[in-house]
Amino acid sequence: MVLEACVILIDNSSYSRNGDFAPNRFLSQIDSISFIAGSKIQQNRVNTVGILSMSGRRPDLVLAPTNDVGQVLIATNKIQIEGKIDLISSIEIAQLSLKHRSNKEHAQRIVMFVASPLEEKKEDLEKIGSQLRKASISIDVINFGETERNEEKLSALIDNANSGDNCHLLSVPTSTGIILADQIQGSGIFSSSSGGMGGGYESGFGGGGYAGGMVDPNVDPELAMVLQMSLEEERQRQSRLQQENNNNNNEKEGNEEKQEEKKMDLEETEESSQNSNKNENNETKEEPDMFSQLEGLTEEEQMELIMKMSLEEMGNEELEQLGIPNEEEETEKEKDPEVQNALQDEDLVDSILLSLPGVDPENEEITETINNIKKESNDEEKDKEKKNEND
Amino acid sequence: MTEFVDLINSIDLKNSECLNSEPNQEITNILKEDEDTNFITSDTDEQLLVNIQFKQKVRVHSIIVRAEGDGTGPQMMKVFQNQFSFGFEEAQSLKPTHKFKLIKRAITEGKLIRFKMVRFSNVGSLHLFFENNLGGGKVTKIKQITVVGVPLETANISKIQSVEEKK
Repeated sequence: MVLEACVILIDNSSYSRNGDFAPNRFLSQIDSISFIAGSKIQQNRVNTVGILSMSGRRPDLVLAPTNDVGQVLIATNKIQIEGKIDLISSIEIAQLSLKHRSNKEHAQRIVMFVASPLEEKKEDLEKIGSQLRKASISIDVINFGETERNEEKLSALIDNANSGDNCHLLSVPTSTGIILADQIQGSGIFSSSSGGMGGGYESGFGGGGYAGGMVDPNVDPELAMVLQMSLEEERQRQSRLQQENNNNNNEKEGNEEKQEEKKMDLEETEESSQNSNKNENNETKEEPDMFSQLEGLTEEEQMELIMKMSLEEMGNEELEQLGIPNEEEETEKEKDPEVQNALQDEDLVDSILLSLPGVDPENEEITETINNIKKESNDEEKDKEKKNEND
Repeated sequence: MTEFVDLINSIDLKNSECLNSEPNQEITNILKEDEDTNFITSDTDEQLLVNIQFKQKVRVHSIIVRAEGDGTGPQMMKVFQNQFSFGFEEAQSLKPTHKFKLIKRAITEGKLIRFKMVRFSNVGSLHLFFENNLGGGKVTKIKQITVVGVPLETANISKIQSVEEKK
């Protein structure tokens, strides 16, 4: 949360009447300004934002730095489109305005929109870049509309003003359907390090495909919490069920459920089922065999092996009861164990999710993320296995 | 004759700054007592501007500027006082209260650079503009700056006593 005083330089020259950025360059700047000001003041209520119009008779400080977003929006309405921009003077006036800021602890920043072809010389821009750097003012430039012609000059400006990566050049090429405010939002130069609350909400559920399969807590904290709760519940349930299983429990929850449990065991907690098998049954002799075997096998084959072993534990009676359907299921599963597991897993997860309010289990995003979670936990368990084997 | 002291305790470090220093350097490098371990190095060019804010008004007697003798030490030092929002533009256009041309011995040995106290009898903020360095290179380095003087008398609240009314 950086304490910052910012002056936004808007390009209100005749070149911004151009409609290549809908509805026209000028209005797309206004749009972006409301986003930028909102995002900065949201990050820290004491941050100030001011507005300066670059063209006209002379550059005009339309709004002195203030922390009131409403005033920012009102001020943008007063600006007229006219003339050509005077870049150097505009930056100097912005510099003055920042120098006389009320709170000296604020860091100084200029945000400049450029939508007209620059007539200034590259050396002059380099000079003013160094001047900004000397005064410890950082500058962000949004180059759009005349991107190619201005690219070189503006990068020279940024290079000279940059000290420690505090200055950025955002070039937005002209193409159909681009909204300037969205491009700015997406680039992340105005987001805080935590990810940017304002931007996050507008991108909405699209943020669900975050790296690692988990929902970014900033984007949707409720969903992240829900998923985490369901994960934990599931794991607790599984460990409980394993113990029941391995103790040759008489509680019969039905054929399919038992199979489901086993599949869950196998898929999600291979290692813990191994351990419980180890501890609670007469399989201690088979341990070394098991481990040595497991090392060489793929996941599928590992699962099959464990399946067989847990089936052996169950004893004849139970096998009879499960009987033929069990074998059938088993063969099916041997053919396609992963699919079966996934399906049954989903049922259980769905049932958990249904019990939670406000969550639609059929939502694609949720199922997607859950699948990612499963993959993730599988990887985790493989690692655990290897660690255990090393012990 | 009042004793002159190191005004280090009167300096308001939070509101003091050094312009054109390298990004991660702080003003405490040169104003705090732990001298010589930290420098202030100039960044874009060889000029440095040190704005020292005091917590109260002081009288400045002299100043000590310490630097290396390898040519990176400052040469021309312009002193201003009681300026508001002082930047490089002002430093180059306004007339300084004092102008000093530092010599190598003064900065390596930490000699006192005497000010005309009559001109510095009521200082709230001191601004030191180091315009160039001894070697003529692009980088100026300063090790330590010490301001010597005496704080002006201000109301000493602890000494206020209630006086009994006399009839």
